[in-house]
Amino acid sequence: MAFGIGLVLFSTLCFGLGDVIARRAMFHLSPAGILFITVPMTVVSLGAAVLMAEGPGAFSGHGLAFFGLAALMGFLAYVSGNVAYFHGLKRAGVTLAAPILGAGPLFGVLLAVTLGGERPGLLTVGGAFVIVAGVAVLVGDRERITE
Amino acid sequence: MSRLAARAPRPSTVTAGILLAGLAACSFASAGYVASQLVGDGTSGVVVAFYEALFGLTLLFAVNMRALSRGAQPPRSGVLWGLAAGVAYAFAIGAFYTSLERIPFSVAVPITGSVPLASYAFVLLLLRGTERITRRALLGAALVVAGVAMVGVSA
Repeated sequence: MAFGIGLVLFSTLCFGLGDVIARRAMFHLSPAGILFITVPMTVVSLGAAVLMAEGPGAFSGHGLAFFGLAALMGFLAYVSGNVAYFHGLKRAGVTLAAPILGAGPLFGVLLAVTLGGERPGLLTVGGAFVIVAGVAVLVGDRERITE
Repeated sequence: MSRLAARAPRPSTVTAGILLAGLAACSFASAGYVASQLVGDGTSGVVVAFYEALFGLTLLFAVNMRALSRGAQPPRSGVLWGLAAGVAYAFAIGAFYTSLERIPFSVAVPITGSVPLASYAFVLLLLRGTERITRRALLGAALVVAGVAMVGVSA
């Protein structure tokens, strides 16, 4: 369990680092241009990780249902998620759109409870709300951005 | 009517923006939930992350084919930063889906909500001068850390 939590914390740090590096790349490239450089690199890196950790056999042996669900995930994470967020940013502004996106984990918990039958403890649900509240305070703070 | 008021977005536009941001949040959370189901069936988290990214890339190219065909050569420094971001995202997605082999999705997903705090820390390190530490930012950071600690303790 502790190793799993450690992996999620590491993942969170890497997401944060990736966002900042992508922001750095935006000094030279458009958001769309960045997407077409980062995503192929992500695919290549994950492919190398699969080869090293699982071997070439891990790429095969999956059923049609697996590929269908992977395609659905690819659409949700890389196409509809990004497109809806960028258009939402344009219309509602970052102060409204960013906290709403930050509340995504609450929706994830809801999915796990309703569809997955998971029963998170009261402390987990309370912690999720506290995280979302903290993120709302962070992203809504305009003063921290220097002129 | 003042020029400022004339430029302000209409309420319907803002509402549409809020709905779109909500749709984005649902899309990302749903992708994570589907991943947790695939990993729960015994497939390695890294393999699930690889195929998700591969399909995502294919769909992105399909949707943006026309824009890509008339794209100019990007500057080298921008490409290098973009490649570095791609590696960071690969570690992030691979680690997150691998964690789902060990802990329930309902425990893992709230912790990923603290990504903006991690970004903030890296901004202070890598993009000095663009943001400063305020009391409100410290309060937000403290809340996020407390929330992650609550989820961690409950797990």
